[in-house]
Amino acid sequence: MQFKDYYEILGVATDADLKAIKTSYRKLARQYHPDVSQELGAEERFKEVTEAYEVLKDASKRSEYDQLRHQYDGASNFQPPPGWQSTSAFHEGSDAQYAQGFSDFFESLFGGGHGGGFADFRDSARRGSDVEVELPVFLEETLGETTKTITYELPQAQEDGRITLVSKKLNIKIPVGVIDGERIRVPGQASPGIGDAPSGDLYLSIRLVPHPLFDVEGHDLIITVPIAPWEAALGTKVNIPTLDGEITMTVPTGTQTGSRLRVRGKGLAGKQGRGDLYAVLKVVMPDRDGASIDEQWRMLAISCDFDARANWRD
Amino acid sequence: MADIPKSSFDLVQFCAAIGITAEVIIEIVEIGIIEPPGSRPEDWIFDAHMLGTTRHAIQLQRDLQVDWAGIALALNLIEERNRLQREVHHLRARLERFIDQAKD
Repeated sequence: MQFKDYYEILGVATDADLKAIKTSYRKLARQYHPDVSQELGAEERFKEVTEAYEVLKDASKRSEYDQLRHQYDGASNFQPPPGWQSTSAFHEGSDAQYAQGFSDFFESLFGGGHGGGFADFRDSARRGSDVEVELPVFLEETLGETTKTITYELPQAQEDGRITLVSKKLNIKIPVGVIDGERIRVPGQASPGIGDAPSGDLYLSIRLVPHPLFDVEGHDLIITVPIAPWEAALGTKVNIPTLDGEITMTVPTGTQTGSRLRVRGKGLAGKQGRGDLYAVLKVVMPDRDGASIDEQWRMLAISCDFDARANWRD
Repeated sequence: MADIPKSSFDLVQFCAAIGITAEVIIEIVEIGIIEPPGSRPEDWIFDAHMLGTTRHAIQLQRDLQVDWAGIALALNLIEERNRLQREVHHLRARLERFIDQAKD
């Protein structure tokens, strides 16, 4: 595995004091935190920085690391010296979980595995960790109660203290009217507890799948409906789809492009009943298909005394 | 089949679910990061959304080492940025339907 130069990662001198290390960490953490940074690779960089800080801020980890760094001969494939055992490895469950995203390098120095470390927390009873799973839901499915089968992976502590992923399947009733981003708690369906402690909870984070026709705005739906110029002028009846069947909608005379017609109660389900469906009308020009049509437009232009740009630049 | 109850927690359950002391929760509530209904800590009722927010706050606090007031501000800004991103995404999708003429 690759040797990690934690000093270089944090951009501090090898004799930097704790204050300088903290300052540099905070600055880099703000720069690369995945919640804050839009930079490519920020998350990886952030993990690296956290890992470096985890070691350098702790006097005993740092001195153990310094010792290894001193002995390291620059070989591309680093291995800890035979019989290496850290005296400052993580012992608490929460810390061990926190360190899950760290590199193999870190794991080989301060982690559990064969050397102890993480293994210690198997002895004490501990509540299983919660798990969050994203659940894609189609708009049609939000109108009534739906059952979905979900498959998800759970981190589970093994006998030797190592953590592996175990696949799990579950049938879930999705309540009526879920919205995008909603979180649903399913108690006790995440990682089993250790000892007598209870299992963790499963959290489903609802994601509404984008629909080819409908856009979502709160509990309302929006559909764009193309109409011909003469339909806009003279009015017409148009069949439009809704989430639960087709309906006929009346387009009034003199309709402008972009005007919205409301169809009550055909939106998404909500606590106060269903939202509305808005049809946004879009006047579409026909393809030019011949001189006779052009002639009719020309006659229209003459008979219809209309300047589309009359109030344009006022 | 797992039935989905409306989940709520009291302070003790909430602390256990997150693995943190009541003192920290009280601090987070006092600074307004979450606002559980109830006048005294023992009456507070927490929901799944608050659980997510609190976990996020604790993670940020650990990662960024900023005080709770700073975390509250960061959470507001992150939420606002996410909301704006979603809105831009929605508006762009709607605009495309509107100006992109049928090409077939």
